[in-house]
Amino acid sequence: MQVEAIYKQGHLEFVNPIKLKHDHLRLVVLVPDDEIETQSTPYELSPDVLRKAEEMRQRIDAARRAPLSPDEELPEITAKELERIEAFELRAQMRREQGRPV
Amino acid sequence: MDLLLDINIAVDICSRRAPFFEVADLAVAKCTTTGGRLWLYAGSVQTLEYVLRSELRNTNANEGISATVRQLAQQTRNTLQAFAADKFWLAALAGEGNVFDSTDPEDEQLILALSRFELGTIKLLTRDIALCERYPQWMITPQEYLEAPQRARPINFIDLAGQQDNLRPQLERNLHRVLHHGQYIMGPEVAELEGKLGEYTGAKHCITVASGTEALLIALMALGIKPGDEVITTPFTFVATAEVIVLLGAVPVFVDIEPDTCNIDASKIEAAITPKTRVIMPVSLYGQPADMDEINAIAVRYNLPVIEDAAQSFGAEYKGRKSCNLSTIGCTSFFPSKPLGCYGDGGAIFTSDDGLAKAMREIRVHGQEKRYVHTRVGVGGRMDTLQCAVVLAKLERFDWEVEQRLKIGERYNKLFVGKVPVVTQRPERTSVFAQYTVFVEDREAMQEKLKQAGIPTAVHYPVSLHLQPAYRDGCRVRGGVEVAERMAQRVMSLPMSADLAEVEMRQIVAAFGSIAD
Repeated sequence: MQVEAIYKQGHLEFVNPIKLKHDHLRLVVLVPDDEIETQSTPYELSPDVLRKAEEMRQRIDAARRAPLSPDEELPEITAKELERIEAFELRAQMRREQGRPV
Repeated sequence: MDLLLDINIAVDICSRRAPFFEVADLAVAKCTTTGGRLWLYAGSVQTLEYVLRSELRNTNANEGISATVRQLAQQTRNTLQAFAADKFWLAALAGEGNVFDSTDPEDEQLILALSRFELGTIKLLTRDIALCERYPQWMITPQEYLEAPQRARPINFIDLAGQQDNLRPQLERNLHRVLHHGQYIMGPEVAELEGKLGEYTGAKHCITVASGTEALLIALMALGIKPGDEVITTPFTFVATAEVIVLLGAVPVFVDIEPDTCNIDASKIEAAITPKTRVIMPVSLYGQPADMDEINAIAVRYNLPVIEDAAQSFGAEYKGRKSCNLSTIGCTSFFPSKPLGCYGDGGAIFTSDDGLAKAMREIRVHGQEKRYVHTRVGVGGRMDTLQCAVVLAKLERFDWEVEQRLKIGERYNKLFVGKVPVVTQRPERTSVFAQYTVFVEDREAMQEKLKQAGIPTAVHYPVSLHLQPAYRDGCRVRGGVEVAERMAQRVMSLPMSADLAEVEMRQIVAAFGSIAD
């Protein structure tokens, strides 16, 4: 279905509230062409800042994409960890309901 | 301005969460590029880990990365390790624990942590609009931060904050240990520090004391200096050197200095010796020992002890031996700005003479040989345990700091060639550059111009001690001290720290050059 939403600082808010089945889902959004910032960054930043940001991005992405150990060589997920995962999912859910970032 | 990174920002960056990560990347890069510090709250570690783990599932799905639950845990930790590598951890303190009556304990902890800082020096970087609206003075969004004017960090004369950033875990660990064991006077850290300092210098004994001044006073007392005795020293030094002599009723006998090192001119000492001379007390000014071989040789000929006033030179070397272990007694200071400093007053005395060590240990504690048995007159001169804990933490990277100081001093020397004369470092000696000092004409005008360029300066020292009102009549001057008088008009010290960046050094020298032209 097509619905109307307001974009505000990184968030989309439905004009008429809808209750969704899942906390996380992919949507297709129609953005007016004249609202798209064509410059690489709208901020007045020195080349040093841009270079630093790029370096940091490469470093973080490299760590995130580093080859992972085979599953069987890794420690078991403990019951305590599973409880924590659930607890933090609950935190995420509460924050989303409050319209706050996670 | 520093930034404390909220969980949502850290997760945006670590998980490459669109569309937020790009602006967060830029904000974080802007902060570090302009000399700001990036903090992560230690109390948020678990939240950070589990929220990122959850978010990485989405990123992996978008990027076609397949990971099991266990691999996801490993990927999360890999990413966080890389992310945290260049951030500072802000400790969670006891007062930030009981926040359960708050609407949001997690936010309350962050607000309490931020309130330790001066308002305006740090903000929480967040995209939580509700939090921004509630605490506007403590919050900033990445967009707001990027739109804010970019201000470079000012150059500090001594960058103690930078040093503290790099030693915070060790400092906090050591200080908390003392707070928990509660032995604030003569606690275990005192003996531990004395052992480590003795080993570092090679001296048989190290006795920590309340300050560098107290170190000199106790050393003179242990040598039995009494009214009418004479102590040969330099007039071009901090007042404490002469002060302790006069306090004991003795007479400081000033000998002129070398024009290039500003240290006492050893070739002029012998002429100043009289039957009343009891001690020779050279000062290792600006962090470089004087000509100790020549001074020690004179002392041996006249059977005199030598006290090295090494308040500025702990870590320096003379012919392969450490300052503080170059003569009968060595005295140093741990004043905060010293190469090895504490967070208050502190000092240490070094000797390899067992008898003197015993005397100095007793004098330090009111001349007490054992509890309530006072065999000599002493002082209350102990260094407290908390200050020893600070120095112990700083010792952990002191070798690196000395190495850096040597490099920075050499770099300054090279950059100043042809521009301004600087204090000379003699062969077979190192200087730890407690001060990096240059010689200038019309010093006041020069200082003012450098100040306008954002470069702080200081003068060590503007008046030779024999001209100071309190010492004019109580001292004796052997020969002329014209060099000391002349240098007091010309010396000017520049910013110096182990963490001084190349870009800052270049800025300092460039400003200097343009002024001199």
